[in-house]
Amino acid sequence: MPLFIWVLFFAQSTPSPYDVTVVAPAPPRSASQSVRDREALRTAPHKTADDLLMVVPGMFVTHHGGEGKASQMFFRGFDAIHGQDIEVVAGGIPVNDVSNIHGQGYADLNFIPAEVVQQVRAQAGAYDPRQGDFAVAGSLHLRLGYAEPGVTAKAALGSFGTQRQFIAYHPPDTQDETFAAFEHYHTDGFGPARAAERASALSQAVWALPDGLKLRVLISSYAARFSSAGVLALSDVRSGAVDRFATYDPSQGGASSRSQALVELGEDRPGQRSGLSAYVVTHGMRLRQNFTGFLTDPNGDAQQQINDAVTAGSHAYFRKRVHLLAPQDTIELGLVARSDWITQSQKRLSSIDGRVTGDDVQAVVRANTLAAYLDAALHPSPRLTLRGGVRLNALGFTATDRGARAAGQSRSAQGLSAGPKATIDFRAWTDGHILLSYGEGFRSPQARSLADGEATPFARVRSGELGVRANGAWGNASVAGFVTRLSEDLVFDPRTTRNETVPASQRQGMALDLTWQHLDWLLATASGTFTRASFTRSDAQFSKGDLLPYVPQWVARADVLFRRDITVRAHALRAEFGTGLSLLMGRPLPYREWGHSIFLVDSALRVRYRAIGAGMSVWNVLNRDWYDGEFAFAARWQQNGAASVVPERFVTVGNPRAMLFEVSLFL
Amino acid sequence: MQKQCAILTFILALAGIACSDGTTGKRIILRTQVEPAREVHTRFTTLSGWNVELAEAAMATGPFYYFDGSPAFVMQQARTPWQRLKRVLLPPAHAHPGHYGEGVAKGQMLKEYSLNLIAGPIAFPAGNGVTGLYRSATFSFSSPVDGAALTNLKGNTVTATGVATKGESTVHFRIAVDFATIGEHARDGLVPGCSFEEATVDRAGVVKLTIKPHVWFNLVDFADIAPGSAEAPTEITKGSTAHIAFLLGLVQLSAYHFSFTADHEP
Repeated sequence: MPLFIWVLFFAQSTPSPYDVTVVAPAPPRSASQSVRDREALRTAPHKTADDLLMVVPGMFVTHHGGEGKASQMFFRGFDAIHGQDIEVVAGGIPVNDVSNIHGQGYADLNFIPAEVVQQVRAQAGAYDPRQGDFAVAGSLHLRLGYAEPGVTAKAALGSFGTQRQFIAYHPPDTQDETFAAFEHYHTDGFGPARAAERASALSQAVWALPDGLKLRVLISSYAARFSSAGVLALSDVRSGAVDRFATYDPSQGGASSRSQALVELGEDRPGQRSGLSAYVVTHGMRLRQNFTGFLTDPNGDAQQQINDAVTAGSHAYFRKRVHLLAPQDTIELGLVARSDWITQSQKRLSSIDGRVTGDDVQAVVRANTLAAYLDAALHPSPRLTLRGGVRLNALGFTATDRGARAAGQSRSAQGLSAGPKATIDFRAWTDGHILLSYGEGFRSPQARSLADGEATPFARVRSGELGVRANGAWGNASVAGFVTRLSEDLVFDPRTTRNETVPASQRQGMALDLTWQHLDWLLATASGTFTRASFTRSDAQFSKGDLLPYVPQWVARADVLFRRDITVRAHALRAEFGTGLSLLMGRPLPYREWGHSIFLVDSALRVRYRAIGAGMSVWNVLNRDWYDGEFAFAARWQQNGAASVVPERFVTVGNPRAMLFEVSLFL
Repeated sequence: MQKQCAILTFILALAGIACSDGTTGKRIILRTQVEPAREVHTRFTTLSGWNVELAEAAMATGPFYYFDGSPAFVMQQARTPWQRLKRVLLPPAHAHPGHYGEGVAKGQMLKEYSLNLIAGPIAFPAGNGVTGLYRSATFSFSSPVDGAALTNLKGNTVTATGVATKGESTVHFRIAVDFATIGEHARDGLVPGCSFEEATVDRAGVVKLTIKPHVWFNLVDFADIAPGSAEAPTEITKGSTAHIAFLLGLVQLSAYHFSFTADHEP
């Protein structure tokens, strides 16, 4: 019997019908901290967990590399590329890859079916001592679960040869954290070189043990293969020289796999809580891409990147109520350990016959991250709460590179970073709080970029925020202004197809968030974020005061869900219509140019009667032409003739209107 | 009133931070002017001591590319006292051809064109580029497809007619080189690593290419060429020593020099 089923079998065999678990959201560390629960997440259609992140205030997600590669994430003035500036944790397991060959912090969430994400908690900034590596723009925590009791079986067919099967089981009378789910997805894609296929299986079980103990086990496995259309010159698209859904190089794409397991033991007693979790992850990634055509090599500039990593880690914490200023004061001590064993390579390939024409990287990386934090919550007065502490991060790297000129050279580096965090939470009125937050975080460096013996150079982030949040039976709302400063930044450089270090930068902005849930038949969430991201230092390429390229200034999102229950033959027929509106504006590009704005509408109509459900999902309802990626760089896609080598605009084309029809059985 | 003030403050704050300018650099139009060195209208002396006077010189050019890498032969002019002093105290290294690192492409003129050098300066089609440091260039030849000298070239890439004198010897000559022959000495007809008078380009302007025909003839020895006459000059045949020497001169970096003059600020 597969391991996934065993986990569920044991979870079901020890029912605990009298346990009552009350889950309360953790006190916010900043005014703009947000939580989106299942109801908000399911409003508009979403294909993957990556896609779900669109509902996070200030977040915009695009898929320029195809359905299978980690998405590009924009969050509060950061172009986090594939995760370099956002700490992503799913089910208690870190998702970001350390020193991934394709990009630091590579976070691929395609292994999680959208249905099993119960909650997304977004912590902008670095105000919480629990936030670790990559929490530069902030952190995202995905809580996994599935609430529909019994067996759910879904089959879907849609545009462009898309098929999807989803099967889940959630034992009745257990917490929604106990479930097993399987997903298979296939699409031919909306144009050449856009086919994708993936399969995923997740199983999670929670047992309530005697003496306030709780055991959680999570096991999952995932494999995907995808094609990628790559970039097109904007001038070619505009002139009609190429079809907007065409590709210059149809051999681009890749494959990804991930298997992981987590065991977590928690103890909850009056006045104290503790937990210990351990996990292991294996993650494989293969990419083939060509951004620059034949610019640097007459055989073609195609690159093959392979990154295989085994990650093992643990997290332990102990929280205790202590009477320092008030009875409800608490103090928490946490320890975090993570080790990564990574093998990676980057080779140049002939675009003509695929043979290897160059060996750029052939590296083995060992990375160790050790952290300890102290977090306290003090209550000097009934209206005032002080939260904060400090986090110490020790990072050690060893990298041996056998590629190109490195010829087996081995280097090691180690360093320590300390990050203080503090939040002043003042209850200004019954359900209204004014929060002032400050925090320092870090981003680890690419291991291969380190010199032997140097102290690990962290990219340090200092962020501050002042805002107001209010909540009540009607919902909740927040408004905040924020500033974030980085000691050094990373910007995508297509010449190396990696993110390269650029001078120090800062973000200033404002964020608004509103959730309206006062009416049974209506749920609405809306958010808007403005950020100005600029350099605070100059180098040969960028000047102080100028805007960071590729970072959108305006991101807005609104989700509205209408629900209606009708009684038909003594049974309820539930009808739902949900729509999500996404807006991205003001995307500065190199050379004082501005990218195209994006406005997308996605909608879903669902009905359910007893054990049968049906639904229709539509993405890009207005069928707008849009570009999900915009870049400026030099490329040469014509092998003959006068080649243009001056940087020009390149785009990846967003999806046209796509529909998916779904039938569900609930048994 | 307090509420209204708060709203106004919020809007002003939002407007204040919304006044963004843009990213570093900008795209610019680079008009192109090609002119012969002054010697084309007078007499010049080659390395082997021949005095050459040209009656006709025409050529077909391909794209020009401008880069921020140092040219293969560092020839930047010292324009200020500090630059002159710096050149004395810290003389620049002279790289070898083949060691040229072009760096990042900053500008280009992609049109294939032709010109008659004797006719004087000519405006080529405009090119495009981005702001930044310009330090080297790639010159290229092409088959004649467009431009003022299309008829003079008769399918060749370079033609020259003139008279060479040395002591008592006088040679009336004509030489023609096609694109394929140039390609035997310069891959794809490209001459990479030419000097671009160092300039920090921050706005549109004119890129001037100065062509120095005397470099073409520097290695040519006319001693073995029949004297010919003004009406019937001697055709220097392909494969001859003089023809090969002329070819080597054509692909010399020093025959092509680029410079930039910015437009006046509006």
